[in-house]
Amino acid sequence: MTGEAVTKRIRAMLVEDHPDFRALMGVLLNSQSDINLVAQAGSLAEARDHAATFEFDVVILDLGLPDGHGEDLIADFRRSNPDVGVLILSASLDPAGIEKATRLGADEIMDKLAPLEEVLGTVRRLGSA
Amino acid sequence: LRPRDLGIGHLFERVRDAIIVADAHTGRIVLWNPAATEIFGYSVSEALEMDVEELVPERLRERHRAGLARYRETGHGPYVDSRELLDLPALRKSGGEIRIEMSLSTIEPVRDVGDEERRYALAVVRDITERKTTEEALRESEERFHALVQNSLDIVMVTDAQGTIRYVSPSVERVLGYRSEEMVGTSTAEYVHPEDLEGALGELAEAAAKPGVHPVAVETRVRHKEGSWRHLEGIANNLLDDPVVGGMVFNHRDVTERKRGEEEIRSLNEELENRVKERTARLETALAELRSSEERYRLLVESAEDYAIFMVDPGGRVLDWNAGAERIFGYKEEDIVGEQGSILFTPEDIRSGAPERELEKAREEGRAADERSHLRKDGSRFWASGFVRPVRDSAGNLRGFAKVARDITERRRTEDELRASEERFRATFDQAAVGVAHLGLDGRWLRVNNKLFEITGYPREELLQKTFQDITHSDDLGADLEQARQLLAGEIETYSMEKRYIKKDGSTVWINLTGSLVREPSGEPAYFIAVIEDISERKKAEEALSQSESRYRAVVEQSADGIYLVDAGAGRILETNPALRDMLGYGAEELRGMELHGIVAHDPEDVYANVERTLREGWRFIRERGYRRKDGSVVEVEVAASAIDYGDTQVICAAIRDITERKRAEEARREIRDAERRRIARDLHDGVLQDLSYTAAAIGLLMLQADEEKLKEQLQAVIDAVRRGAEGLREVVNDLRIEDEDGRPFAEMVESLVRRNRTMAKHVEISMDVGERVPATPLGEIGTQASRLMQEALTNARRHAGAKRISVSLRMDGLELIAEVADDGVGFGPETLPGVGLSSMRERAAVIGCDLEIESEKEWGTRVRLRIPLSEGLQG
Repeated sequence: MTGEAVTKRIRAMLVEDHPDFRALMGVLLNSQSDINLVAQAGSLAEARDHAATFEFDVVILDLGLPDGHGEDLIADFRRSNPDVGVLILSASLDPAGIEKATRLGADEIMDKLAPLEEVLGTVRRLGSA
Repeated sequence: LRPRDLGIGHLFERVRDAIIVADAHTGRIVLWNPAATEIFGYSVSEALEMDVEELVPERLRERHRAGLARYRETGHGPYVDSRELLDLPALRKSGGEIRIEMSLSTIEPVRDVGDEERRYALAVVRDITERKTTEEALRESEERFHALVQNSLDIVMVTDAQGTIRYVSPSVERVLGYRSEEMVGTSTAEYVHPEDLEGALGELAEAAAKPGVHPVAVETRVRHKEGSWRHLEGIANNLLDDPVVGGMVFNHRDVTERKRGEEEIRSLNEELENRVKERTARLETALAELRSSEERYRLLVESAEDYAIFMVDPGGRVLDWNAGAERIFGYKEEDIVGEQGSILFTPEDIRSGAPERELEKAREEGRAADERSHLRKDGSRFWASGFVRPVRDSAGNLRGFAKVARDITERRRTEDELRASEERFRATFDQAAVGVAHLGLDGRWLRVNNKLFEITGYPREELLQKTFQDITHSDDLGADLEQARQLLAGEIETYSMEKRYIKKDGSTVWINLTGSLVREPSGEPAYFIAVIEDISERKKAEEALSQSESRYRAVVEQSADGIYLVDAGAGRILETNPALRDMLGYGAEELRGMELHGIVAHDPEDVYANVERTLREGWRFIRERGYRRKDGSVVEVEVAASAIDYGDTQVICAAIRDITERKRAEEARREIRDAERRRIARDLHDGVLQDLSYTAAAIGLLMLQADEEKLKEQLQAVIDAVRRGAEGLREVVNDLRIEDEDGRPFAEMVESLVRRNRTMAKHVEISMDVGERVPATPLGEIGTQASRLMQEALTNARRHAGAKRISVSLRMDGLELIAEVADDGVGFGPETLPGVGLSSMRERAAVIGCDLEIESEKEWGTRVRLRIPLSEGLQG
């Protein structure tokens, strides 16, 4: 991939424990020519593995995961990819969770019910920053 | 002469007694003060024109003139010298007679212009007519009798059964020459003519055989002190049994002169009989003699002013008429002599034949009592008492009747008044609603009213046989007797006590006795007066009350709840029950008087704020409160307190119940409930909400791939529906997720609540305001529950009221934290009663000891205010 600098694709990582939702987001992101979904994870542990392995520009993060809180991953991502954009995509909009995520460094918090175009727009904005 | 000359200038005008000065030479009045005008009716100018004699009744004028003359000549007189207080009749200007009290005194001779020494007499006069009338009415009849006796022309004598003289009126001296003192103690027999002794003894025996007022005529000759014999005639009454008199009463009149006259008539008649035929001429002489003797008799008769004495012929025609008769009947002698005596009788007596009957009786029996109403000349009536006797000549031929009468109207009137007064008293006595009795000094019932028979159950005769000691309960007798003794000793004037009588049927009756003592004028105790009120009903009520009190006390003593009374003013414990003492580990005496905050494990300020609030609201329930045991540990209780007004003192009665167990159970229940809630929230969130989010996103993806506009629109509609469902579900989840927040500061909880609601309702402006002193410490479970209530209010405002603005505020009001949610939504008027939501909010508020106030008005919005009472350490 080195030397190819025509259009730099946004490298994205998706952390989502709901399998159908994750698949759906995978289809959506992969269908975008400027977005490259480099990794997907369904749990905290899996996401940490990927964080150490891959490089990415933006992470789309669910808060409630089977083995922990999604927001706790933010520090891990930042350690390997200091400039990574963090988009929290949450179904509950639980104020305590949102507050915590903001405090831990989330860049954007979005409702899972938000229109997909808005989600994609936010991914692009955070990924190209 | 001026008042000033007498040194009485000012006094002269002001004094209530009349001051009159008369010239002894002319009899003219020269000084006359306003009081004199008041008494006599003459103005000063009239009086100064008058002779003082005009103030003296006609019948006393001779004496007045004589006295004045003597004073004029000698400067002395018995009254002037003695300054004795004189009691006299006097005449007013109107002609009416009044009674006055007068003292006379001389005045230093004054030399007038002609250097002639003139004497003046000064009279100080007081009108005692009123007083006299009053005295008259009140005087005992015995006294009147006595006065009558003392002043009578008759001799009144009282002897014992043996004829020993106990009393004889002073008039005896005039008739018999003995002083009454000489005669007292001697026997009547000593004075009776030996020839009359047998007859007198017979009369005495006759009188003795008829006790009471049954007059027996007596007639006897009695030895004058100087040896002559006087003829006495009269009546005897046996009043030996009369408690007042206790003797034989004789009423004697000296008829010596009349007897002599009669004797002369008799002897002259005899002579006439003998010589009538040949010595007609001497008849004239004899008749002249007769007239002259009658003249003597007449003089005697006429001198009796208080008695009407007159004679009628056998046919009832008036023959003569004395001055007393004129005074009493109003006829002058010339008017009546020759008239029928019956004109003195009332029409009804005339109709019934009384005048004839009276004369008939006198003729047959030698005497007829005349005790009846008579007519005066002016037609007025008066009550007269007297008698009629036949007058016979020596041959025994009836010559006419002598009638003697006295006006006793005044006496009758006085008697009537006394009787009426007595009757009024008796009526009052008998009809009194309380028992009234007079008791002898020995305790015997003397006089008892009807009510007392009712109270004691004894009939009159039976009660009067008893003493108060007989019917007084033995337990009460000592105190009663002691107080009676103090009355007799003069140590107390009256006493009152509650005591028991034993009724005739053996039952007990409670009475209130008020006792007092009547004393004789001499000061000797006379009798007791007792006023007796039946108080059984009150006693019964008291008994019932006392029983009710003991029942109530038993309830308190046996209650499982701790109960105590505390003086709200002093904040000190008054009473405690055993349950409270067990609960706190104190003894009764340790708690009595202890300050309330000694047992309540909260700040004194908070404790007394609760006392104040209980007093203000009358009743108060505190769901959770810590009470401190003697060992320092704290027991969790709930408290129900109520204010009791004991007149001046306000007391709070509090019942406390140990809720340690209940709290533990509640805690366990709450934990289970919260775990359940968390599980549901998690299930909804992790399952349903995620699925819905996925569904919306999946459809969104389909929509992105769809080409057809119509399909896009249809998909958009589905997405919107799913989103609405998801949003609703999210709120539910969020509500369920409020958990484990007991440890968060309340303000922080409310702030996050507001934030969450802002997120969920972007089109509503929600403001948040936290006032001063709002505590930064957690409120525990109350805080969690209160924040749930606020969430409910916010949801209502957002969803149902359609509010554009909601303001949430926290502020302190005294010891209460006020959490308020106010909106500008549709509101509801009083016609829309708060729905199920509001009433359940109220219930939940009550459970945590808070008051929920809801104000709402159509078009103006709704205001929900939660008052959270803060306890120890929670005030900012």
